[in-house]
Order: sequence, then structure tokens, then C-alpha cells
Amino acid sequence: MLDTVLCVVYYASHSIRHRTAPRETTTDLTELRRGTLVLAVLTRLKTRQYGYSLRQALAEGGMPIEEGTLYPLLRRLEAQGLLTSDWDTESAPPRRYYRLNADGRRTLAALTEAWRELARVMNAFLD
Amino acid sequence: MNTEQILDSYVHDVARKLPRGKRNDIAFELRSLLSDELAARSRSEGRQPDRAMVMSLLNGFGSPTVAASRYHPLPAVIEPADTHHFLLWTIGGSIAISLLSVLGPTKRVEGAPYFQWLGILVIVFAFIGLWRRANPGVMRWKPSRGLDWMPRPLALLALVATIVFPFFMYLAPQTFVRVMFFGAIPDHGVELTEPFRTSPLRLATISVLSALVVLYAIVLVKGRWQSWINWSFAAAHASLGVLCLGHAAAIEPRDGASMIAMFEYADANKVAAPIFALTGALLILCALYEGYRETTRIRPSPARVDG
Repeated sequence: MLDTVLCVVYYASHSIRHRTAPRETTTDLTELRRGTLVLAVLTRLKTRQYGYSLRQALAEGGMPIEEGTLYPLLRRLEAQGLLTSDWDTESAPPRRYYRLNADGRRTLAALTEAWRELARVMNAFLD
Repeated sequence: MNTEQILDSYVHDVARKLPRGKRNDIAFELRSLLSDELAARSRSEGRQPDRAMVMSLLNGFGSPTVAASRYHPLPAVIEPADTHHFLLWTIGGSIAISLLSVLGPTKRVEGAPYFQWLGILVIVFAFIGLWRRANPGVMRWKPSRGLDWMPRPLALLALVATIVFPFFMYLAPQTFVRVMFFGAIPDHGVELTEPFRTSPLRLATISVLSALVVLYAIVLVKGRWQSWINWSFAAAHASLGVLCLGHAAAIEPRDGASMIAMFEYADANKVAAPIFALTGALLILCALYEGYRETTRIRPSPARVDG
């Protein structure tokens, strides 16, 4: 019965934790920002950027992003075929630069249009 | 360790958790990014990097396991959507193992079968998740006819099957063997003893089996299940399960003799006892499942608002 006991304890603690955890506004804000993250990153990659410079650019534009979130995202976008990258090993430290490719530009255009439409709808709801 | 060594150690631990094909490249980039981050932090705080500063940076990045999972997310072994079913199968299987252990030849509960069951479940659920991810859309939701649906041909089949097996088989085992095997198998091995023939155990079992036949006949007439029919089935299965366990206990030879020998042929009792025990355990599990299904039946209604 040990496995059952372990499962029940885990399940019970999990559900209790979820039931009793206070809902924080920061969680809602994080969720809200997460949806816009890819679009924000794509807009900044029209020009060639490396990880830290991109993070700086986003922060200066008013969208600070945790480093642990941003850097893996760049890899994911590259794996999805939206970015191209190349290493500059001449500089110290060596840096990997990313920029939009043709598919990335098309995706950015589509997301921009969708965002404007969403913003229009949300503004209408909020007014 | 100096700050550079701490960074190297972190990058190494992250890279170790990544696929071989990716790890060197990601490690190289990560090391460079962490250097940039540390330099920026040093500039903003106006002091040289130290252990506290680098640890604070790395804590913000997350543990190596978390950081690696961001670079290379691994699917859950058991998908969150399957957690509830996994729990039910674990509990159901554990109850079955307990029953079978208690009723089996050793009459003792041991730990190993529980872990084996848990291992089997993990593998099965992992494969379900894998298959689902490889074939998206195949297991998409399809409308069902609901719990009460029972087509008449199926109800008729169930009724006939219940009458033949187990009702007829239990009532007259010798005739059953003769008819089913066209006389090809000798039937004296299942000849009932006189004490068993007139025992309350047999009469009670025949009553419950008759009740099952009647219930299937009702389902056939109505053409669907109903809550009270399901509860009746659960009660009948539970009673039959207990009676089967009673048979197993009564006919199992102890010190060369059974409490009540069911068959004249002694070895037949030996063979029948574990079969009755297993059948009884399965019937009780079946009844528990039917009861669970009825108690958790969805009856849409508005939630009561307190206060």
C-alpha cells in the first residue's frame, strides 16, 4: 500500500496547496506579460543582437525580462526557424548574435497585426 | 572557489543535463552570457564581483535543473491530465493486490507487488503520453452515449451469457460440461457432493445469480441502465464476491479435508478454491467500481451559495 499512500499524500498536499495559496497580482501580471514576450523579442531582433544586449534593449524599452527566461527563448525561436544566429569569437567574451530571418519577419508581421487587433478589442472593453 | 570557477561549475551542471548534441554550444553561450550579466551587475553595484554577487546572479537564473529544462524542456513522464487516472489505477491496483495477497496461497501481504504495480503503471502512462504526443488529435474527445446507454442486442447477449455462464454452470455443473463439450469430456469430475448441494452457501449463490438474471432481463426490457439498476448490480456483484470467497474458504482442503467439499472428486476442490478466491476478489472490485461510478455520477445542478 506504500505507493497508494505516497500518491494520496502527494495528491492531497498538491490540492491543498492550490486551494490555500493566495492569488497574487504579480502572478496575473506575469501571465499577461508572458503572452507578449515573443512579440517584444521579435521586434528587437530586426537588428542583430546578442543575449545581454537584447535584454538591455527590452529593459530600456520598459519590458525587463528575467535572463533565465530570455536566453532559452532565443534558442527556441531559432529552433522554430524564426531567427538566424552566428558566433563572434573575435570579441571577449565571445558572443552569439541573433537576428530575424525571412520567416521571422513574416511571423513578426502576423503577430503585429494580431496584437493591434487584440489591443483594439481590449481598449474597447476597458473604455 | 573564485567567481569564475563558480560560473564554470554552474555552466557545467546545466550542460550535463542537456542532450549531447546541444550541450557544448549552449554551455559556451551560457558562460558568455553569465559573464556579461556579472559584469553588468558589478558595474551597477560599483564593486568587484564576489561570491555573494555571483551566487545571487545564479540563484536568479534558477537551479541547473531548472535552467536546463528551459533550454530543453522534457515532457512529463505522467502528463498532468493523466494524474487523476494514475491515482485511481494505483489505488484500485493496490486494493486488488491486497485482496489477492490475503486470499492467495501465502496469505501474506508483501511490499514487492505494490512497487511492481506502480512501475507498470508508470511505464504504461509514459507510453500513453508518448503515443499521444506523437499522434496529436488521435485521442481527441468524441461524444459518448452516456452511462445509461445499453442497446437491446447487447442486453440480450448479456442476459443469455449470464444464464449460460455462470447461472447454468453453477446450478448443474455436470449437465453444463456435457452440453458445452458435447460429451467429449467426462463430467464426473464436477459432480457435487450432497452436503454442498443442499448447503445454504449454494442456495444463497443461486439466489444472487437469479437476481443477476432478473436484472439483465429488466435492462433488456428498458433498453438502458438506470441508477437503481446500477446500484442493484453493485450489490449483487458484492454479494456474489463475498459468496465466492466463502466458497474458496469452505472448499479449500485443510489437513486433507474441506470444511464443505463442493465436488466429490477431491482434486477438483483444490483446483476450484483459488479460482473462487480470484473471482470473488474481482467481483468485489467490480462492485466497488460500480459504486464509485454511481456516487461520482454527474448530475448538473447549481452550486449552493452560502451566506
